[in-house]
Amino acid sequence: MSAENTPAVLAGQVTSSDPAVGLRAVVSLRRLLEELERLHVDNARDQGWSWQDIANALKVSRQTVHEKHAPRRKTTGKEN
Amino acid sequence: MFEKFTNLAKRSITLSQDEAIALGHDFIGTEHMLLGLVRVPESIAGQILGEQGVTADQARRQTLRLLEAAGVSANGGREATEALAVIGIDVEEIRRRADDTFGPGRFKFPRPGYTRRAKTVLELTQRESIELGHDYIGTEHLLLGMLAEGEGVGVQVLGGLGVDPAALRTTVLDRVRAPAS
Repeated sequence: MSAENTPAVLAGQVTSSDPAVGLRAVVSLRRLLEELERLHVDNARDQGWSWQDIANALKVSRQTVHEKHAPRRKTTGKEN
Repeated sequence: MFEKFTNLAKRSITLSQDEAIALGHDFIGTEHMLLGLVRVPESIAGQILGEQGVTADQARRQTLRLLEAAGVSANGGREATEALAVIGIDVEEIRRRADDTFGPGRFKFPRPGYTRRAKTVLELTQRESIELGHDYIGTEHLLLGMLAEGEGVGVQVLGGLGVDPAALRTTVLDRVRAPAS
């Protein structure tokens, strides 16, 4: 960790009063979140989890998680 | 969205994402969709584009030329990675671990998303299939959808390679409507 990258400096940037800095971080976090969700839902399905199990773990409805991820898995031939 | 896509159409969609990533873009635009079509030469759209003299290399060069002129960044979404570094998240470390656990390439960040225009093309693609009375979506419908939208970079790339969009549309429709021989 370089001198410019100490936790204190990072904390300052997270709470930066410059909207551009903060909003950019939020957008990137959202994209990271979506990618991690996709990865872990795929992993759960590959390990035999039901859509209901996954929905419970994500604290959303079965319909929400199914609508979001099932089409992709069908398209990529991972499920029927 | 992709349920009715033929296998060749699905492959062209997958290839369009690969093209976007390979060119360092963090979005999938109509130009990448065009490249996806060109790269499935055995499909109807791929065949027709090949007959028009469009090669993947040419289309890629033309795409880069147009996007560079428009000032579009080709740095592989580095801004997104840097924005996370600012708040102490090391994307490369996540990638390393995800590659180890789930297999190389499964984690993609930033995963390119469709541009608004590309989404419009996908909607028009469905409409083209319906209007032709087909119950599947093939590469021919994707190409027709792109031509119907008419203003995306994909169509500009075709224009730059000397392909007339209106004439191309007629060619595709003639091919699709011709009785199977």
